[in-house]
Amino acid sequence: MRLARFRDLPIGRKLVIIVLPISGFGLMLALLAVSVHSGYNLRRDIERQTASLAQVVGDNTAGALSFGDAPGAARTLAGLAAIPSIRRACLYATGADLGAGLLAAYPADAAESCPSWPLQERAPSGRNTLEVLAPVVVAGEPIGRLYLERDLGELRRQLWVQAGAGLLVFALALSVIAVLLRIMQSRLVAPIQELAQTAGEIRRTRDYRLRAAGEGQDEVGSLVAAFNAMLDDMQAAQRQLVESEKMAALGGLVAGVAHEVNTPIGIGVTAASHLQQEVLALEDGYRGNALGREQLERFLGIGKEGTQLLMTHLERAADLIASFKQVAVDQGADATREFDLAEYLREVALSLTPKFKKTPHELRVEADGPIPVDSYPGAIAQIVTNLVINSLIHGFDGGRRGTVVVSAAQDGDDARIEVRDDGRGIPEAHHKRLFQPFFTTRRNAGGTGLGLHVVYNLVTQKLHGRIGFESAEGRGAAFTIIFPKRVQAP
Amino acid sequence: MSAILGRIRRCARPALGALLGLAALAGPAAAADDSAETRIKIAYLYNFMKFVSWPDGAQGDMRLCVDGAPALAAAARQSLTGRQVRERRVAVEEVRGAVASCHLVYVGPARNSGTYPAGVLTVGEGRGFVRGGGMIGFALVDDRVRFYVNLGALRRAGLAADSQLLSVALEVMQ
Repeated sequence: MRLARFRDLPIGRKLVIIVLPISGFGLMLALLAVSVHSGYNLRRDIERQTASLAQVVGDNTAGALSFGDAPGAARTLAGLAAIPSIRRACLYATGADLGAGLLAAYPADAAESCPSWPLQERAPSGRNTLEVLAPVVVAGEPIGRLYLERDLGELRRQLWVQAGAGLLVFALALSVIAVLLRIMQSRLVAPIQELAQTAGEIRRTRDYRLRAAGEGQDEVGSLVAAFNAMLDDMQAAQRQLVESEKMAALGGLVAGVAHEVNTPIGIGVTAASHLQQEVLALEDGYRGNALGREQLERFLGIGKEGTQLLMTHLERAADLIASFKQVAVDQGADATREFDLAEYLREVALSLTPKFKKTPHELRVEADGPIPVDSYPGAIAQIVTNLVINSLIHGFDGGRRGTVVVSAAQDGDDARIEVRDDGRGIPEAHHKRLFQPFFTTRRNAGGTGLGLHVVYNLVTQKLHGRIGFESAEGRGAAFTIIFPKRVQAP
Repeated sequence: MSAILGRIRRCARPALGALLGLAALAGPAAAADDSAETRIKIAYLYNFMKFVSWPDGAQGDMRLCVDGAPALAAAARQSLTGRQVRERRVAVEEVRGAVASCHLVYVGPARNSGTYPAGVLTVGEGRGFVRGGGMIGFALVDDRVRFYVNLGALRRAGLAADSQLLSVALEVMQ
């Protein structure tokens, strides 16, 4: 949960989250070490200072101790007032001659609070007070002890000041680190953001010619390089897909042509063979001198009818072949040509008739010509073919009769083609992914998911136009292609 | 105020009368005098040896001589024999008159004058002893045993007194 939230944070924030605590910890450790060390040093210094102070003051009381001069000793001890942190001083005589006991105290009224242990031995120092016992020695003979009690509040105050300064340094260092991080983070994250932007741009425009900018030998640099290499591969794959789709379409076309031409040719053959029989019958009658007027007239009638039938169907076959040839040539070839869009759409529709023959559905072309265009006829043929076949495959199912209408119009410099069906429509859920490659609802039925993708690419890249669609479930679908009548040479 | 001070005072008061009486009746007594005042004076004599330095180097015993005070001499012998000053043993002797081999001579009230050779610390009784050329003179002030110091005499005798000694003196004369 926590990790997941960390994962979703921006890299810059991650950097901060990683670096700040680590450096903070390090700083803290260093500060702590310094504090402990200097605290120890401070305490040791104060101990030494107090010890030497006790020694000096003790030596100065040697005379007073030796001759029992309590007022003199008190005067000497009173000099301790110069050091405010000295709370108490007690001077004890230990010599046997004049008797042992407390001789003087500082401050003067502290005699009652002087401890009795210094006469025996040394007691350990407390936490908040420092107790020092210094022997007073004269001529090699210890004659007394000076007890000093020092308040360590001063030491504590110094430690607090030090801790405050340390915290200040800590905060300052952390803020400097944070600012540096902010600067470095932008330098680190910027190329990644740029890459993400490029990827988004490509996704939006589907222009696979875009490349991410970015140099450097680091991980981001190699990521950019890999991204660009992937784009190269994708572009190549896309070209290949378009190419193979084209070939597939061409193959279908050839099959359609064969099927379509078969009918008029078959009728022609039937008519020709009937005529042949009639001619042979006529010849028999002529040779047997049985040729009557009635028979001749019947032959002439049949002959006229037969040749008429022959002519009609052969012409039809010739027409078909001519138009198929046109489509096929255009689909294979990759060149612009000036042509009438309305007429051309009719030819394309004709090439598609075989697909509709075995279905109850109908294909109609509604185009008031002429619509002169100078563009890629092959691409247009493939676009229209794919859209119409899509309508046939996806739009119509069940026994319901459906109609696909291909219409064309011109609008200023643009030409418009619309392929509309009254089928079951495209579900809302598929709208977004409609033009994505390999998106298909019929994977099992042999769909490749490339049809509309190829259409999209042809429209945008070849015709330099745009494609849109309108559809609602149950109310058919309409694809509209708008492209310049005069395509610029690539 | 201080235990030792009180003790000195307590002991000194009755002892003072006894001492004065003894002195008046006089007669050198061979028995040790263990009155408080005498004890204190003996301790002082011992301490004087610690605060004064002699020019004789640092060899041999510290010779503490007593002239004209046999009771004090006996008490001093009792309490100081075997003790040391700067790792020199203290030896108590009774002398008469000038003795150059002594480090310190205590001159009893009976012989409150006299000359002593250089290098000998002379300790006597009263301000008069010090004015008359003695170096240190005991005095009773407020029932306390104190002393005067004649620093000039000390120096002339080639001795050096520690400032601690002078700081405790009742008066330091040049």
